[in-house]
Order: sequence, then structure tokens, then C-alpha cells
Amino acid sequence: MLEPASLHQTGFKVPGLLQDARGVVVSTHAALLLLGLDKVVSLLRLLSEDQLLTDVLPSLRIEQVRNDLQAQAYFLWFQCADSQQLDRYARAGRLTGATLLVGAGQHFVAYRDRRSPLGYDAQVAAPRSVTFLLYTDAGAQAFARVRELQLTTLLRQLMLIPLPGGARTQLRSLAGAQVPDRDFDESACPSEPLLLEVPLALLPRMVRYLWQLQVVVEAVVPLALSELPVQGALSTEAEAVGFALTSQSTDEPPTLLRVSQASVAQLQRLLQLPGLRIYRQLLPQIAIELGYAHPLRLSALESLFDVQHLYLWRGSQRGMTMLRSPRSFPAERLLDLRYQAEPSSPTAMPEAPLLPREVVVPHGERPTAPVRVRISLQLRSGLPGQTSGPVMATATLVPWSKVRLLSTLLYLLPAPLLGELQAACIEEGVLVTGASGVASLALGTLLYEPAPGVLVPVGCALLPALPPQQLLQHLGGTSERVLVFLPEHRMPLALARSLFEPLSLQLLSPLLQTERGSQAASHQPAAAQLVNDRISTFALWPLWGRPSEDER
Amino acid sequence: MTDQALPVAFLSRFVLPLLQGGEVHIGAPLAPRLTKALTDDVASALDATAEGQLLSQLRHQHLLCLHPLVSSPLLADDTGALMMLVALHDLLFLLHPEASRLSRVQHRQLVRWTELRALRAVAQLPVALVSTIESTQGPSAGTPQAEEHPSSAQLQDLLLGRHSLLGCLPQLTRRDLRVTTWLGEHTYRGMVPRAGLFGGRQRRRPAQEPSKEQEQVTEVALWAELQGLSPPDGGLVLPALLKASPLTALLLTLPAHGPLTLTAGLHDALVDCLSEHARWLQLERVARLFLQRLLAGGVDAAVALMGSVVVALLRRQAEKRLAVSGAELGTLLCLHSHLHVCLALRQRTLEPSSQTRASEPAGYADAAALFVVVRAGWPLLSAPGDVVADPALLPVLDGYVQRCRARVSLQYLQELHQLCTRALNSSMPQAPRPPYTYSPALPPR
Repeated sequence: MLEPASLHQTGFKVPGLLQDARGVVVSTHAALLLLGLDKVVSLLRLLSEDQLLTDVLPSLRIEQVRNDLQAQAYFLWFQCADSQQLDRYARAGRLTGATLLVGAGQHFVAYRDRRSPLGYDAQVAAPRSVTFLLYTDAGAQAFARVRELQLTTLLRQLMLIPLPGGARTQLRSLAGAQVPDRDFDESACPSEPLLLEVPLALLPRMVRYLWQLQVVVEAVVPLALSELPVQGALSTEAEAVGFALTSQSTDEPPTLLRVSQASVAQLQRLLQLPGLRIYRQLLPQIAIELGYAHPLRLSALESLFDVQHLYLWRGSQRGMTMLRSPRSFPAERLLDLRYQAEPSSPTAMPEAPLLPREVVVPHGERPTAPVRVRISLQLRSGLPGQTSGPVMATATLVPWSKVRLLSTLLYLLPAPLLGELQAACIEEGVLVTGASGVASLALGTLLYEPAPGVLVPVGCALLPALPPQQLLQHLGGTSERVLVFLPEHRMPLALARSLFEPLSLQLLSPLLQTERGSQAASHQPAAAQLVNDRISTFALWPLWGRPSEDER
Repeated sequence: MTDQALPVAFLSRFVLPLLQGGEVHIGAPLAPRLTKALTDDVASALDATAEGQLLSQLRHQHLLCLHPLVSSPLLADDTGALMMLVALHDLLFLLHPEASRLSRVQHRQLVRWTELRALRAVAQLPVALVSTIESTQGPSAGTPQAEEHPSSAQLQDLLLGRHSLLGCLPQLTRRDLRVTTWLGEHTYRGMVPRAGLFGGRQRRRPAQEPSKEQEQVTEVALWAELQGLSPPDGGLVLPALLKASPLTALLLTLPAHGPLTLTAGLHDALVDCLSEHARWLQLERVARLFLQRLLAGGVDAAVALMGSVVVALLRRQAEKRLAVSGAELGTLLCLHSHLHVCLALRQRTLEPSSQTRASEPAGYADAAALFVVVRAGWPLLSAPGDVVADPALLPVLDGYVQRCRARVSLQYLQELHQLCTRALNSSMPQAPRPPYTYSPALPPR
């Protein structure tokens, strides 16, 4: 039946056949004959993985056909006249047991193979009232169309494939974990934002919970769920009904939250909630539940899905759910931060307007708090929140055990800094103050000034945290004295400002006395005189030993 | 006797008196007995003893006279210092009267061991690192190489520490007693005659007989005696000791006091010394101390002496009789130029009439010609950068160069320029040779 084509063949018996530049027999259309729906899915999976499906998707048609023996088959045909593309389709077809044919209209001839590298021509059979006539090496087969199978209909019938490990493993892999990673840090965040489908009853609590965790959350709310008919790729009524069928299982539109910067541990805790699903967004309009994969590569079918909508694939149901024109906005808007009074006292609201009650003060007396409720100013350590921002240490108390080191350190200080340093020698050590800071000394207990003339160790704070003016007013003024709060003393030390003198006068003057010059000047070596000792008779005898020991 | 007893006794009887004065006792040779004990641990233990602390203090005081900022040297920092002291003791023993009791074999063996001690101290000096060593402020400070090798400051401390031990060697004297009796004439070199030898005989002699005994005491400078030793008698030990302490060699070559006079002996000694130790002048403190000693004898004489010495070294280098690299000769030219700058600045303060009246010391023509050549051909070696950048000092220097130029002939300048070019361009003093040569013409043994 089949006749091998030859190079530069001038005419073909099968209508529509022609030779391309390489001499391969092609036509305007190509077709694949498959014997079952599973084979169709397998072929589509292969084509989508190899990115072959995108090119032919606009012209792809799937026909359910039946031969004379009433055996059903599926006939995929599409426009393609490129022999190099056809070679790839033929290779994918052979993997699924399909035969690639080329032709146009009613007649399709087997594509080239090893026996005929340029393709085939065929003896045209008598015209019959069939849809397709396929010429293969086995003979001519006639097929009649039963119905056309839409690709979207096929997609609705497919179920997701559960991935090994489930959602937890995929969540960890999204955060960069390797497969046998036992030391994975669960505080890591997934590399892409995820969609959370939250039951409506849990939504306020979930938003508040995520807001408290400082997770960036966007609410994704559709205009309506599957309003029929849906415009776009699914344009027919039947498709819309199909979508409606798939979405009828849910009575209310799912509420989605797009979360980012949520750690894996937090998301794993959320996964334990019943009814909560996490989706991964493959494309802006396609999201698949975490822990599942679609049999087809959906990115190759991107043109089927309208970018205005969002299509969700759940692992527990066939097909998909479409959210029509979802809008995103910060989920903080859903938070109700108002204080809600207990409903137990509905009559607590005053109906009459509030009037201030005037307090009558006795003449000449100043009302004060009773002594028993008064508290004292205390020095507390380890309260970093009490001071706003980093504090500059303007004084340091160097204990006497380290004053020697301080005096050595003074050699390194530049003259401007040394001139600013004032010091007072007290029982606890040397208190050094500097207007521009004493951080260069790095000795002793550093002190800062919460108010002028009040020195508090760095890391400690006076409680209650009073403003500087109130603190000075409470302490009684520091114009003539300096108050030093030390942790080991219950009461502050009051040092008169007259005690402070330049540090150079306090320390440098006694340390300038060095004995080096006097020693050098007084060193007058006396004359050395050689005296030959008497050497006993045997002193020179046994001393020589073995020369080889010493000459090495 | 414990392990430490002998080293401590060595310190107290020999080393400490050598530094602080007093009787320096010379006993039996120490090399066979003490060398094995001179390990790092023993040196550390010696530093902890009272004698070791006193020694460190004495060395520090001695060094403070040279440099105001030095640390106290310790024996543990430099085991070679103890080697030098042992070698010095044994070298002085060779002058001991009792050394005549040694047989020829023993004497030769002792000389060889003493040389070995001194050479071992020499071997502990990182000689090859001097030219490659960087200062502590240099960019390579802190690199792993800088941590492995001693820094410039450590090396200078090492040299100063060794000089503190050997620097007082020229002051060492010996009192020789020459006694003439009726029995004959006897010389006691550094020894005291036994009381019973002559005293008893004197007592046995009749009292009325007039005494014929005469005692003559002579102070002998051991430095000259050591320099006059022949190689079989240990004459190579002192050069080895000075090689182990290059600062001592450089400073002791120049007279310590008095004006500097250019004599043939001083000239030759300085040429030999600089050809041996010129590399150490690349260290800052060593160069300062050398120049300080040189300038103490007068700037004019220092310029003349240094100029004639450097010209002699250049001639030796041209005749391939000198193992001095170009970098070392560059250092010497820098020092020579420094002296000229000092002289130029000194002449600025003098009156012009006194400049012409000042008598030129011998060798000044060589120095002036050499400075003119260096100033013209190698400006970086001729004057410090701040002097050249100073608008007040640069005319002074140029005027001095012109006066120098007027004193020498063009032919001599050209000759010196060729010598300098050849010397400074020779980075390697001589072609590398294998450690031994194989000659097939030699008959087999």
C-alpha cells in the first residue's frame, strides 16, 4: 500500500503531500493515532516536558474516533509542516506506541521511518464516507469521528499526583534543604511566596496570628467564584459547566492568603490545621497544592489559562477551581484592632454627658502623694530598652588596680584628646571624664550621662525613666557637683567639681620619673682585670671527651 | 655539682666581672664541659638566677649608653651569646700560663673547639635575611613570612645584646708580675706567686744578706695580645667572635675617643671590616651607632676616612676581590653621602673665610669626588628627601657639591662613575659556584 517517496518526486497520489527542502514528505497537518486515553495523557506529558506542546497548542485537536470494527481510538492532529519538528513528534509518539502521520483533510500517510527516510506515498483508496483514512504499512484504516475531546476537559479529569514526602518535604526543599538534610534550619523561609487557603471561620484568627508573627501577608479575594459564563480560554458553555461542576464541591469561594517571609516551622505548624491548604504558584495564574504535582507540565499549557484569573489545583479533587479576577491587598486591613468590650455589660455606656469634677485644694497646701506609696529612684542593670539609642560614654571609673595600665595608655593618646580628659581621684579609683567621650581609654567602668552631671554605668538605667530636667530636679541640681551612680553603692556618690583636674596633672607627673637616664649616666664600668686561676694537675686531663660529640 | 652550678659559676667568675669590672677569672677550658649544658632551658634558668638578673641589668646599662630605647637582653633570647662567652673564655685560656701543660694535640684540639664555638655563634645570626628583612613599619609586617623570620627590631636587639657582652673586651687588662730573685727571673702572667715559694726561702736566707729580689708589674692590654695571635695559637677565634658580633666589630674598628686620624692601619682595618660587615649597616640602629662613632672623631676626618674607604671598596669590587653586593655598596654610599650632608650643613654655619682656611684632611679628595659622582648619577643615594625638598637646604647642598666639583678632575670623576656603575649594578658579588668541583684529571685515591 505504502510507496517510498523518492527525492525530487514530482507528484504524490495522496492529496496534500509535498516535499520540503530536505526532501521529506510533509503536509500541512500531522496526526497521531493513540489507542487509549491514558496513551493520550502520556503523549501530552511527553510533549509538555519537551516544550513541544506550546507550538501546536493553538491548532491541537483531539478527536475520539472509531474504526469499522467499532474499536475506539484517539486522533490528535495539529498543524505542522516542519520535518525537523515532526521528527521530534515521531520520537515522542514511538515512546507511547503512537504512529505519526502526515496529510491533510481526510487522508493521512505514515511519516518517514528507517525503511523510507523520505517518507511515503500511498495508493489512494476508494472514497468512503469516513472522517479519516490512514495509510500505514499495515494497510488503510478508516476512522469515523465520535466526538471531539477538548484539552481543558481532559485537564478537568486529571488528578494530581502525590509527591513522596508530602507537603513538608516540598516545603523544606523550597527553603533550600537537601533531601537527606538532617541539620536543616527550620527557621529558613521558602524562596517564593506561598498561597494559604484558609477556611473562612479561621480567617480573622489566622490573619491576626500571622500579623503577630510579622509575616508579610496579602489577602487574595476573588470577585466571585466561577461566575458563568467565564470569558477567556474556556469560552464554550460546556467548559463553563465543567468548571461549575468542579467548583460545586465548595459552597463558598476559598479565601487565600499570600504569605512571604514565613519560616518553614511556622508553615509546618499551619499545615496541621484542618481545612488549611498551602499552594505553590507555578505561574501567576496557576497554583498547585503543596505536596502534589500535575501529570502534565502546566507551564507548557500557559496559553490555556487566562492571566486575569487564578486556577487552583487541589490534591483531593479532580480538575481545578478558578478564582475570577482575584485582587490582592494587605491582610492587615482585615485586622480588627479595636478593643471590644465584653458583651456582658451592654448597659455600661453612659447616656448622660460627662462633667468634670472640680478638685478643691486647701489654701497654702500642695497636695502630694502619701509616703507609703512613694518609690525611690533605683539603678537597674540590663535594661537596654530604657535608653533610646546608643549612649556615648563620657566618663570611666578606672579602679586603682588598673591605673598603671591607664598611665601607660596615656602615651598613646593624642594631645587634643588628652587635653579634654579631666580626672578625680576617689576611693574607688580614678574617675576620668571627657566631653567628647572616653571610648578611647577602654578601661574601667564606662559611664554615661542621662542628665548633665549625673553619671550612670553603661548598661544600667535609672528607674523610673525620668526626663533629664525632672531627674535633675529630683536629684537637687548638679551645678557644683557630679553625682555618680555605681551598682555596688546604694546611694550615689557626690563629687565636688573642684576635685576634677586635668588627667595629665593627676597621673603624668609622678610617672615621668624614670630611672633610666640616671642609670645610664652613672654607669661607669670599672676596669676588668684578668686573673689566671691556678689549675690543678688533673684538671686538664679528663676534660676532652670525644671530639665527635661536640663538633656536630 | 648540679647542672646549673657550673654555668652560674661561669657567670659569677667570668662574665659579670668582665662587664662590671673586677677580677675576671680564667680557669680550665669550658668548651667540653659547658657546651652540652648550654641549651635553651639552661639559658632560661640562668636568667632566673640572681647572677643572670645582674648580668641582664649590666648589659642593659651598657646598652643604654648606646641607645636610649633598648630592652633588657636575656641569655635565653640568644644562645649564641653564651657560645661566644665560652669561646672567649677558652681563647683567654690559651694565654694562660698553664696552657703550656697541654700537649700539641690537646692544644690544637682546644683551638679547634674554640673556633667551632665561635663559628656556631656566627651561624645563629640570620645573615641572609639582612638584605631581605623589612622594617616593622613596612607593608610586609604582619605577614606570615614576617612572623616566621625575625623582624628588623629583633635582629637589631640581637646585635646589641651581643655587643653588650663583647663591647668591653678592649678594656680588659692583665697584670703581669715579673720577679727577679737570686734564683732567676720569673714572670707570672695574671697570677700571684705562691706565698711559700719565695717567702719561705726569704725567711731561710740570712737576714744580713741584702735582698736581690725585684718585682716589676706590667699592665698588658689583652685586646692587642689577642689580635696578635697566630692562627695555630687561636688567632682565628677573635675574628670569628667579631663576626658573631658585627656591631662590636664595626664599633671597635674605630677609635672610641679622640680625634679621628686617617692612618694606613685604620684605613685597611676599616676596609676589611666593612667588606665583612657592610650588610649589617642596612639596619638602622647599627648604621646610627656606626655613624655616631665615626662622627665623634670630627666630621672632616669622618668624611675623608669614609670616602677613601668606599673608594677602596669600589676598586676591590672592580677587581673582583670583594664579596660585597651592590645593595651593600649602595648602603655605604648612602652613609658616605650622609657624612657629606653633615659637612655641608656644618660649613654653612662657618664663615666663608674659614671654609677656605680649613685644612683638608688626607683622603678628602676621594670623598669629594665620590660625592660629586653620586650626586650626579644616583640622587637618591646622595641626600635625604627632606633635605632635597627643603628650599633653604638645597642651595647649601648644591653649593657644597660645586665646591667639591672644583677640586677634582674630570678624568677622576669618570673613573669613579664607572666604578660606581659597575659596583651598583652587580647584584650578585660573584657567580654562584657548586659546593665542590669534580675534576676528572685528578687521580683517584
